[in-house]
Amino acid sequence: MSKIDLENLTITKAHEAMVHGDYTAVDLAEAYLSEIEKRNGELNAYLEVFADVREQAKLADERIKSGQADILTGIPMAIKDNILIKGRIASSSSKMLENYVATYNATVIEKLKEKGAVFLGRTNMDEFAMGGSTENSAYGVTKNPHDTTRVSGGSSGGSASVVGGNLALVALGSDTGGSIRQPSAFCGTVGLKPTYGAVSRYGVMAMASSLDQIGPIAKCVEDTQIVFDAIRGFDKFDSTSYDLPAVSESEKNKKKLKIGVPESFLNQGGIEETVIKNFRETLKKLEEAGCEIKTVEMPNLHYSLACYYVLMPAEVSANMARFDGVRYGTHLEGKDLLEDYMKTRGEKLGREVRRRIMLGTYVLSAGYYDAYYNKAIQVRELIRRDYAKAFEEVDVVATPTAPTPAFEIGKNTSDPLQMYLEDIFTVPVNIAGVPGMSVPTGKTETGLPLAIQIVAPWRRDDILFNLGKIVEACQS
Amino acid sequence: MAMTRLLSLQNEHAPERAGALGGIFFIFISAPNNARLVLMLERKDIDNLANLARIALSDSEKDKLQKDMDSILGYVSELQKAPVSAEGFDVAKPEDYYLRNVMREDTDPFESGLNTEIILSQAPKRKDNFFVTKKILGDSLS
Repeated sequence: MSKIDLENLTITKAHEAMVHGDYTAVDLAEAYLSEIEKRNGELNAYLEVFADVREQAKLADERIKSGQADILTGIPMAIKDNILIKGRIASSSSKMLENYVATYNATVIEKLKEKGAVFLGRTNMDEFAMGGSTENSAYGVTKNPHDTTRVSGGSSGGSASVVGGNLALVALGSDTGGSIRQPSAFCGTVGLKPTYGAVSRYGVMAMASSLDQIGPIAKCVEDTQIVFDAIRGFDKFDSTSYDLPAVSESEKNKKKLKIGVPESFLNQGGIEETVIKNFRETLKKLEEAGCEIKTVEMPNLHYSLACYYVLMPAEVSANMARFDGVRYGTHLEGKDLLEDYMKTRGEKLGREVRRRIMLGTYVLSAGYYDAYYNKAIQVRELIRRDYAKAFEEVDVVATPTAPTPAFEIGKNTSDPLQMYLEDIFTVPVNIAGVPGMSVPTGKTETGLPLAIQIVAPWRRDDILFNLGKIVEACQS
Repeated sequence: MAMTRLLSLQNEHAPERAGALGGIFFIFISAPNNARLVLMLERKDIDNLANLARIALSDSEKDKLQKDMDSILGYVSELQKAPVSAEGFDVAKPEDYYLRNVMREDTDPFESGLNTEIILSQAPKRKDNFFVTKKILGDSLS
């Protein structure tokens, strides 16, 4: 068997090669394990590589031999550490859950297992998905595979780093305010935040429940689509989930898409020159490819980040209340029950998690609830309407994914507000509940990946795959 | 159960908290609707929030948090300028956002005991089929 070209591998290529017998699922798993062996020490992207990868791959090979292969059978995947796989540790990169063993499978895991995917390991992240650089992990920062002095983004930094660095073919992440798309932009991968409700969250650790979605991180749009199709759909264990309505083939493959650009939102400053230049060039290429570019007015979009930093911590403070050291997770002893709680939560939750719980407790407290939380709920509605109005005129809204390329490790750690500003283009998408995807659009002169974020109307994730493939075709 | 307890305790303490922060609240509501909300958190506010959130914090972290939260709350006060109509929140049209009520029949419960062992296997302390905690009555939580 010749060496497998991991750099240019896709799910379809790997599937065909395994079905034709060019190599086996075990060979493919070995190829990734060998890359992991070489690079994970430096990248710190996997928290754990599973001991039974070869056994999983052998089962996949048996299924392929029997002619029962699904397209994902034998495909090596990485799973973010906040998604439960029964019998394996799921720590959310927190000391609070250092030894927590998942007691059930997340629905997405159940679906992928049924299809015979091979789980390579669990990936590093910002603790409980709170952060934009994976620097908030209790287990150290994950480095960017394109420049190891820089961050991989976050919170799904480990998942983006392993796909960008060829340490897995695809990965799952979760996205509350950009946690799939921003690390994808930083690591040169494709990342999808599906329509709110398209994918069941049963078995992902809740951060901010009105915003969270699970989604794929992959090397190309087609792979993203394959994984999305495998994990989406109604689940009786997540009452916010539903089946996306069917879309006709002609609608799915529409070529002359109208792309809206919220110019006034882009002109508010803070975007690096290289990012905006690359974004304009990408739009020009899309225009040449037959798309129409149009300015759209979305006057409330600039309130998104402020809105997010009220709604998100409010929901975080409620969701994090479950970590009491009584039913599962770490327990520290105090002199009485109150002190047990105070010590366990004070010492085992990390700094950023503590900060967000405090903020959330504040904005929800009597006297401030109306000024912050209720106001943010109203502003959320304004932002949704901006999107609804824009989508009356255009098929897609486009911005850069992040205002900067991957930044240096430690650059933003002392100023939380500066770190939060990294999410400026991604949070509006979660607030509105629409689907968004980050697609690579080349690199800076120093070799750092850049990306465009495309956003479609509710339940029209299909438009993102269509346009995403056009964006990819423009790059070559 | 413990989570419910934690949350309900927060509610029980809420009136006390509102009292402690009442002065600042008054300043806010007397400000015009579009004014930038500039509130300085006091140390006692941080102490109070940490107690409500059940998080033990060191003095140095409280100092840092006070600064960080002031800066973040300063930023989010931007929301006060948003053109929300006077009549307030208008409920979304279901066809726009796919909002619908999700109900299910209260039937087909799990077979009793099916998951007991695996769930209790993760408990820091257990006795038979129970989680063990310290007593609630008679200590500082009551």
